[in-house]
Amino acid sequence: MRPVMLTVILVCSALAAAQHADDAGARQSIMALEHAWDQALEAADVKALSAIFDNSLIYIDYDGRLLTKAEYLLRVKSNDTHLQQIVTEEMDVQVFGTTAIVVGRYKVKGIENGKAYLRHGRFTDTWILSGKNWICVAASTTPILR
Amino acid sequence: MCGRQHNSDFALKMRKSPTVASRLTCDMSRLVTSMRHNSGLFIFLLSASLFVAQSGNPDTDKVRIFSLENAWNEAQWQKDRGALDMLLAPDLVYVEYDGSLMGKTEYMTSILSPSLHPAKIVSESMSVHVYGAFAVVYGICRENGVKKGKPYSVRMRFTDTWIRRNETWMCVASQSTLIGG
Repeated sequence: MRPVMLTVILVCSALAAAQHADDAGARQSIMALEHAWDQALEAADVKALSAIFDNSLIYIDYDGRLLTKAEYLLRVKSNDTHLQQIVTEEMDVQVFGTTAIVVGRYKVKGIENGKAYLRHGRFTDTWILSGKNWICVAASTTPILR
Repeated sequence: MCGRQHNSDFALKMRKSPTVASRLTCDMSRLVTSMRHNSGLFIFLLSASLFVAQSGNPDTDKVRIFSLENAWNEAQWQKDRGALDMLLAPDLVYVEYDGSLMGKTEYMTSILSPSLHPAKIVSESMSVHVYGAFAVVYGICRENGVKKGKPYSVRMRFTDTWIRRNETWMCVASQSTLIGG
């Protein structure tokens, strides 16, 4: 994800939020942001990710580690997990006025310590409408063990 | 962190803080009505109320949510269907530490299963972020007991999202992740 592309998505999502006060518009905007998040991760685009997250973001990683926004962005920047591809699927968005919760599955491929890995997990992201933009305030990931 | 505190000046302090008292009542009275024959949980709820009175913290929502988190643990431990029903929103989405996804009915069925006997459920290091009419809680939960005849012990990080509806906080999303995989 290039920053320009993300800007376009953010603008579109803002317009969608303005034009569609209904839940369907919100769902559409949030789904677009979830996909923008994936693409920004693959490109290690910290600037793009920073625009998606609220400064109060708390991220729970698949091993139970708690990361702040700064820690999460630093990890993406360092690219120590050599993430190659991330795919999200089975996403369900529930909108509660100016709050939305997304639950879905993800599949991530990469190389860590010289070894290829493929992880499957479930995530829950919480978004709030800040002005005209949706921003993520909380994200949790859990490996799917069965 | 069950917030079990006692204070003989509770009534006096609640009179001095009518706003705190009335706001707290909205959430707690519904639970108390369901649990008045359940002395353990009733005592817990009273203790949670005392905690509010003692705190003097203007951000009462945070205190209420801490109390409700602890009430959830207590209800889970006591297998109190009525209490769980009030704490959890009908549209709850729950992600278990093994990655399984459940709705409210499935979650309550799993918690109330006769083959599950939790001996201890303790939440700690909790932090609440309030964003108007919703809040996100992070914390660590330690739980042990017997499940399907086998002992279990887990330590997990949880994230709960609460929404205020008609002056009542209800949990709409919860996810747990084992610490250290």
